[in-house]
Order: sequence, then structure tokens, then C-alpha cells
Amino acid sequence: MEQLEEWYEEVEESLNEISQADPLFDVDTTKKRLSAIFQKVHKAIALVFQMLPEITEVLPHTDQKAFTQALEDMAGIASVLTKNMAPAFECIAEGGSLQNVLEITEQTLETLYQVARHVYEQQHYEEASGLFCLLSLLNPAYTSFWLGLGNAEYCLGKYTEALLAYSFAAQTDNANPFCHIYCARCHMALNNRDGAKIALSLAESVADEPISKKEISRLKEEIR
Amino acid sequence: MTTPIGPQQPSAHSPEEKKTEKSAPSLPEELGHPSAAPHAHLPLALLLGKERIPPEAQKLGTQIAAQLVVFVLTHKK
Repeated sequence: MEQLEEWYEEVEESLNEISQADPLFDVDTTKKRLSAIFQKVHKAIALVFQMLPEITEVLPHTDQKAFTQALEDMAGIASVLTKNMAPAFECIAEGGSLQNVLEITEQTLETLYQVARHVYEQQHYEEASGLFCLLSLLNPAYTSFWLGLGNAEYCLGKYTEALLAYSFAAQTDNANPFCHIYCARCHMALNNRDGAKIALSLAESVADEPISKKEISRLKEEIR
Repeated sequence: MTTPIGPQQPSAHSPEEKKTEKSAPSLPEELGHPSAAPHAHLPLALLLGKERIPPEAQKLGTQIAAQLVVFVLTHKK
């Protein structure tokens, strides 16, 4: 893909610098991973445009015109940023979110979440993964984005990827027992009983609702 | 705190089989609130596939995450 190659040229220098900072960092593996993520997100956005009429029908509060405009605006702002990246990236590197840099409102983010959730519920798991990945990159502070990414990967049978997303969910909300419960499920799917036990122990320490306690008990029985 | 009903063990993973699942795992209906916990390192960690990353790499990696999003949005069609 020609566009992807152009992008690689832009990030290659940064990847090499990371490689110097971390001797275990593998540039080639990372480039393959970035390629996969890029294609997944790209495919997901294409599907959203295809599904716009359906999305508007199913999600009545989603104004198709406004939603399309929001996506167009985001692309327009991104295009401007591409021409003058340094200040924006400096802001992000200092801890700012892409949501702020791209001037995406909370309402738009909520709409994008509902769309990603709809795509996920329609069992387009690969595309849902791409959308939740994009949302997580736009603002990594939302636990729901990481849970969405984890669930989509889990449903695809990609348990290692799901585990990573759930661990990020736990980092944003350590008091949410479901982040740990889902980690435990991934460990179980990966035949890692010790990891599952640790995750369930963490879940147990923060579980305060019957539904989470019941699930923890069930999983503990399963790995006994 | 979000309390979604999480994914059940998927009965199958092929595209054909996944369509036959009777109940889709659910996600929180509402987006919820952003976390106050430190999260600036997460985009890089996601892209690199690592739970932990060296502090020296965080700034550069965060820029890569930004480049990815900007590039995808710019070339979305």
C-alpha cells in the first residue's frame, strides 16, 4: 500500500530512536504490527461510511449529516496537522490527547463510541477492533474504549491482544472488577492458570456487586 | 464504574462460525467518564504491543500514535 509506505518513512526515524532506548525493541516486528493496526483501522472507517444509513436508523440520536460532518472535520483538521505536525505532536507527547488536538467534542466522541458499539454488536469484530483502537488512540483515558477493544479481540480468538487491551482498561480503572475478570478469562484461554488466579485475586479485591462476585466464583471453580 | 456483561467464551472463531453466536457480548451503554489515572503512555503501549514501555521511548512513541491517527483520518477514503 503506497500510502502506508509513505507513513512508514515518516515514523521510521522515530522507531529507530525507540530502538536505541530499548534494546529489546524490534523495529521490524513493530512495523508489521503497525501495518496490521493501520489496515484494521482503515477498513473499519470504510465500513462505518458504508453502514451510515443503517447506523442512523438503529441509533436514532445519531444525526447522519452531523456524524458525516464530524468525520469530515476530523479528516480536515488531520490534514492541516499533517502539514504542521511538530506543535501538535509536542502537545501530545507532553500528555495532551489527540481528541483535544483534533478538537473533537465529547459529544462526537460519544457518538463515535455508539457507532463502534453498534459495529461490535453486529459481530463485525475485526472492524469493531479497528474502531475501538482508533478511539483508544484519540483518548486513552476512557475505560470503555479499552474494554471494547478487548472484547472485540476476544471474540476474534486473539487472546493475547485481548489481554493487552484489558490490562490497559485496568490501568485506567483499577477498581473495575470486570477489567480483571476479563484478564482472567484471557489467561484461561491461553492456559495460564497462574495468571488467571492473580487476575481473579485482583478482581476479588475490588468486587462489590453481586454480578461480579458471582462471575469470580464461577471462574474460580472453573480453574480449580 | 462500568459493569458490562463481558464476553462469554466464544464457541468458534472463524468468520462463518462467529455469525452463529446467539448472544453478542455486551459493552457499557454509556461511554462513561475519562479516567484520572495516568494514561499518556497507553497509545504507545498499544502500538508496540507491550504492557510496559521504557520512559525514554514514551515521547517518541506517543508521536507515532498521533501520526497513525492523523494519517488514517487524512486518508480515510
